[in-house]
Amino acid sequence: MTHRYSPDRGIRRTVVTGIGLISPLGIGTEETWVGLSEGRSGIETIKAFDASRLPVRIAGEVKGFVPEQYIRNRKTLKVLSRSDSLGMAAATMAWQDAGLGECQFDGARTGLYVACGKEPAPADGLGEAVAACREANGDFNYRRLGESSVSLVSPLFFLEGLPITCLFYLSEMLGIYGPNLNLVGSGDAGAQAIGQAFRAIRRGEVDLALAGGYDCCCDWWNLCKHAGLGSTSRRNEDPSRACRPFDQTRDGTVLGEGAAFVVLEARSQALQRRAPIYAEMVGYGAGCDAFNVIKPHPEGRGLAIALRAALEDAGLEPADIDYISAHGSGTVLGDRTETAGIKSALGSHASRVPVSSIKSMIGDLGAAAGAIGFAAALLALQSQLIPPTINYQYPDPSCDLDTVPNKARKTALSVVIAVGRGQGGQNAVLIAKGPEV
Amino acid sequence: MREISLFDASTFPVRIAAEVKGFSFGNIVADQRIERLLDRGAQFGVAAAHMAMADAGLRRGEIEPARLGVCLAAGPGRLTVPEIAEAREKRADGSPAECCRLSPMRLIQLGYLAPPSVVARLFDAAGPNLSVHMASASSAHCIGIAQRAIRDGDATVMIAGGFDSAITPGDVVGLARGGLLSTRNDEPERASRPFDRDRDGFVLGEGGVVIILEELTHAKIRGARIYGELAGYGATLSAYRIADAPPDGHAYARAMAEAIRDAGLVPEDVDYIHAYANSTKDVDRREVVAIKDLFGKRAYDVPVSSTKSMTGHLTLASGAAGLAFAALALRDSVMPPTINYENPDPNCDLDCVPNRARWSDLRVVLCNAFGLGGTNASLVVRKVED
Repeated sequence: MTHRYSPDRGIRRTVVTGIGLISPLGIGTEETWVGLSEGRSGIETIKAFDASRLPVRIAGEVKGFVPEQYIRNRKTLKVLSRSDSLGMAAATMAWQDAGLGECQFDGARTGLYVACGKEPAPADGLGEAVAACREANGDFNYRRLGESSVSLVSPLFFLEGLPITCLFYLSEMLGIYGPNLNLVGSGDAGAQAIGQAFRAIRRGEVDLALAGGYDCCCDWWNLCKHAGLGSTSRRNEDPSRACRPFDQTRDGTVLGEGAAFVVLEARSQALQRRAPIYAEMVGYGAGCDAFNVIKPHPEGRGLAIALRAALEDAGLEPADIDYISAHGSGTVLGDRTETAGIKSALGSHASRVPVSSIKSMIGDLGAAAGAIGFAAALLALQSQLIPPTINYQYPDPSCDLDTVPNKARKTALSVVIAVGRGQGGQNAVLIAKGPEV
Repeated sequence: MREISLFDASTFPVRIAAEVKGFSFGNIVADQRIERLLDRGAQFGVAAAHMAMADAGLRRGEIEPARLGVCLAAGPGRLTVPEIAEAREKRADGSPAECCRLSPMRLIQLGYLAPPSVVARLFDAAGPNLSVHMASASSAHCIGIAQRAIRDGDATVMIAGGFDSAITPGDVVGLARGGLLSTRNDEPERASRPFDRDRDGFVLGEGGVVIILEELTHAKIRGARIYGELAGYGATLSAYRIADAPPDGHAYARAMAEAIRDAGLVPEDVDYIHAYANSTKDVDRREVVAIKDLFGKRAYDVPVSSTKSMTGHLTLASGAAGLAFAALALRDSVMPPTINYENPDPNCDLDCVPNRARWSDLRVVLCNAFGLGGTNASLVVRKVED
């Protein structure tokens, strides 16, 4: 059997050649970016199910998404959760954007790095059997559950909620056979997936990689979980103004759904096939607060570590940064500690660098957030336009950054950063340079 | 392997499993606040991390925090049957979350939230922190990614491995209905029989396995005891079917070849293979096909055994378990056997170290982990000469 390995692949430059986005502002990169640059909000009262009696009744839902348009196979559709479908769709959009649909590539030297947000409503496929085994007095008869399982549970039930589903179907559909990763987690995961893909290309393990994340945080189960943990805004009567990162009156994040994927490629290969190049990926850094299970470190320790590591990785200094696409989820502690972390790593430059949060417009997309934040930074680079932090009315002294309030800003951009922060204190930072590569 | 004791499985299609016995989290990590945040599987993982760091002789603060990272395969906390029923009812009538009666503590236990954060805090690991879920290949990928992180200079020490407790009504029913589990309910101890002609599926196990990976020079300087070098990692995608092994075993062979090449070695250097072989009809057979494809005639000279015959399938922790056993085999020059090997299967006619462990001077061990969804990982661990 053959395998192609060239010992001198070494360290190589990596570029972004494709982007695919699905967000509460639209299906597709163009639609989403127009919404972001116009400072529009994709957050509304929840329509997907009756949320009228829940403490949280608003979210950033994707409108008009028809999975069948992207996934032809009926059997496949049955096995995919909504978030899986969003991921499949955005990933194929990115692939096509990179012109890879008509291109020859070596599947064994192509990688797939996915941040998977998938926690479906509790065990749907088991529900009937569980209901059937409940006695009149409320106890559960496990013997009846065992007996009825054969007739009431589908043979495909074990596929429900299986995290690698999207990874598999993407590999099958696109012909990707190389290194792969399926990350679970929250706000950092999407950025980590892209960072890992970047590393793989740089060290010569692959020539091409598809990387990104998807999530559906605003379904009933996730909504209840997040609300139960106290991180969501209760501003139900004013949805488009509820997510207010860095604003003094912020009261929590708004959950959303969506997916974002990028295609990363060895620069030499991209140039050779005359692929469209958005930017060059130059840095990736990660760090953890190592502090508390749900509360961020007061000084943004993990973020400071990640920022420094990413800058060192890129061979850049704080003075070189032109824009930070923040995590900026709109929680009281999150935004405060993010500010602290940025100041810690950037020193005096922190007050100069524009830092905006697109979550103000689309909400928190969980495992997709880090990826979509990075995509926004790339599009900002391409348009030389920084998307705003909307709903910014009352400055908070503990978040005294230049948040690019309310209106997009035209400005010269060369080095952009994206930040992803996970619920457990994980932080990931990505750095890209452009637009000339 | 015994009859399941964690819940009344007496009428379930599969009634056997390999449960962890006599586990007390508090005996390993004396911190009740932490214990309350963790579901069963997570407790295994955090305890294993604690044991691994102790085994490595590393205490909190001894490694510069930003240079100490975590990469764990996380088996999520699962809802109990009563919780499932309640959640279903509440969803049906649109009731507020409070009616679910899930406390914040319980909410933290469910899903993936707690373990990566708890482990980071326990050891002040402020470096890279990743959580992975890739079925049975998960923790092998974690160890591979951890190796890459150290090689790339992103960390000096990595806490890597996996944990899971899948012996729950939902998992048992799901996997049994999917035809993946052995139904040899009357003979639990003989049910897991990789490579044997009469194998009929895997036996669920549970546990937590954590490996400490350290940059070699750093380890030598501090006089660490070294099990071996994590010399190679190969990862591939089969892209065949979501739950079936690829008939030609090609993606398995590529993963092994890549791990060996990554280690700077050739197949001839491999002394022993710790197989993935999970006692299902197809996977065991295809792993053999892949080994023959890669090793050629020499395949018959390389012992390949599966410890799943004794431990059952640790699901997300199985990849790390394989690597741990490979490292121990290296250290002690002993290859663990494939037990319950009674009737040869002509399709699996390699030397599977049947029934009895065997002494052998080992230098290079290859370890496989193949998961649902066609994700494959192979690792090479090699003796470190002074």
